[in-house]
Amino acid sequence: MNASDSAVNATVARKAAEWFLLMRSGRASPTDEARLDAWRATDIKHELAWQRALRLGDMLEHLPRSMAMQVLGRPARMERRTVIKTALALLIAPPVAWLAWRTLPATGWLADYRTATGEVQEVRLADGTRIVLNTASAIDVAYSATERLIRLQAGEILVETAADAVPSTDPNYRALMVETRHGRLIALGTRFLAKERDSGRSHVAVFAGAVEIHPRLDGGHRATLLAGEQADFSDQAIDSPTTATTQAEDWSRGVLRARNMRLADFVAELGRYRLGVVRCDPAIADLRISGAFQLRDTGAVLDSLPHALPVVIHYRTRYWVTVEPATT
Amino acid sequence: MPDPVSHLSVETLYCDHHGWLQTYLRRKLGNSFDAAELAHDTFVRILSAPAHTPEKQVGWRLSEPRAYLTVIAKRLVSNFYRRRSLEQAYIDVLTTIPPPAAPSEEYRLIILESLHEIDALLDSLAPKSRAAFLMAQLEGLPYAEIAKRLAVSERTIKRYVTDALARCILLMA
Repeated sequence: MNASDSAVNATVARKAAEWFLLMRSGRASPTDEARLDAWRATDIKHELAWQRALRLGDMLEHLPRSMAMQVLGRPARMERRTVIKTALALLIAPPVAWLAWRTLPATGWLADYRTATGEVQEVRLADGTRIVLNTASAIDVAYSATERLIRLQAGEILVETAADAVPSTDPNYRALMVETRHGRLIALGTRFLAKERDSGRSHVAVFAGAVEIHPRLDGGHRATLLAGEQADFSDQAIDSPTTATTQAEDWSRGVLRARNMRLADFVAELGRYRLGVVRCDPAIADLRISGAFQLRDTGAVLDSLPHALPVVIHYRTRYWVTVEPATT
Repeated sequence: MPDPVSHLSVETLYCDHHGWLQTYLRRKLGNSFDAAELAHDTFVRILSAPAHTPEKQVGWRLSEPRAYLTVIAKRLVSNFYRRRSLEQAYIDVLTTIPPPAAPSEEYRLIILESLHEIDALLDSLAPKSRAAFLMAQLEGLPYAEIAKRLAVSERTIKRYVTDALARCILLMA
């Protein structure tokens, strides 16, 4: 037998593709189905092509959609230099990122409150404490007879404690605490935000009252931040506090405020509220942008950029967006 | 069954040109480790060519052996870059997923294999055809919506998607 006898040729492949698309369209009639069966039975090549179409369909169906879209829809060709840098990054980056995953508790799905990417949600707890969860965040709430504990599982939260019915000197007073991977924050009648940074540290910014930081591995060490102060901390050390601006809590009102912000930083910040990847071309990274932008519709924000700056928005796919220099 | 004669010609080809090929690839890739790997793959590719291809015919001779080797090596280099860029894109995406939603390591590898397979099938498609196919088959968008995004007619989208699928079916093993 010649090898090409059982090979699928272009005509058969095309016919199988047409059948497949018709069947998946939801518009196929029983007659169509009968005709497909007949076609498949006519020739082993037809059946083979049909099976391939099914297998491909099956593969596509089992891929996580948004992830596969970003990977398969990535920009077409990389320059050699980029790829070589990539090759190095492959050696260095994965262990860190993947390790972080493995060691993190997989409890996020079970968290009491969580937000999806692009979602900002406000939660009011039984004692009146208000918590706003930023994009892709998760918390557990564990209130007991002696303490009110909020565990930050992922992302960023803004906490506003209720006016204390019981003064902190009263034995019935329950401390309000936020726990991150790196330590505990004790609220002293306050409004503050807490988040875990990608760099593997926690960050706290205080807007009212005061917050005490207790790094996880150093029981004796602590620092108190007052309103208008912010600091990063690891599980054993606290950085010197710097000035916190209320701009940092704008997201809790669904706003991204930029004051002479680098475009690259702006795009990265906006990207936190979108599924998928938003990239800024390095050539325009240093353009400056100012304004207040609604986070509820990041697509509209992106689409408005060409009106303010010499840029174009290129939608490779819904999940892969690049901001590029406008061609003149 | 590998034919002893053709086997011999591949052997000659290897002895005469392996060193040259490796140097060529090292210059192209910028490192000797990958170059050695791809040079090896080039010869494996020739040895494992299907029985009806010219490489496997008795008395197979090359008038331009280096040109021939270059063609195969170039294709392998292009595949190599494609795999690398896919892996990088995959890692980029994985790192943006919040840890609670992250898939298990085993599942990640299974996904990566499927992604590689589909990526290879889609490799030869024009960018718009590829985008249309992915939007339709992966994202499940209606043709009208895809047409709007790619700024072409619905008819064209239908043709893109059918062509892309036919191409995949043709190439699948």
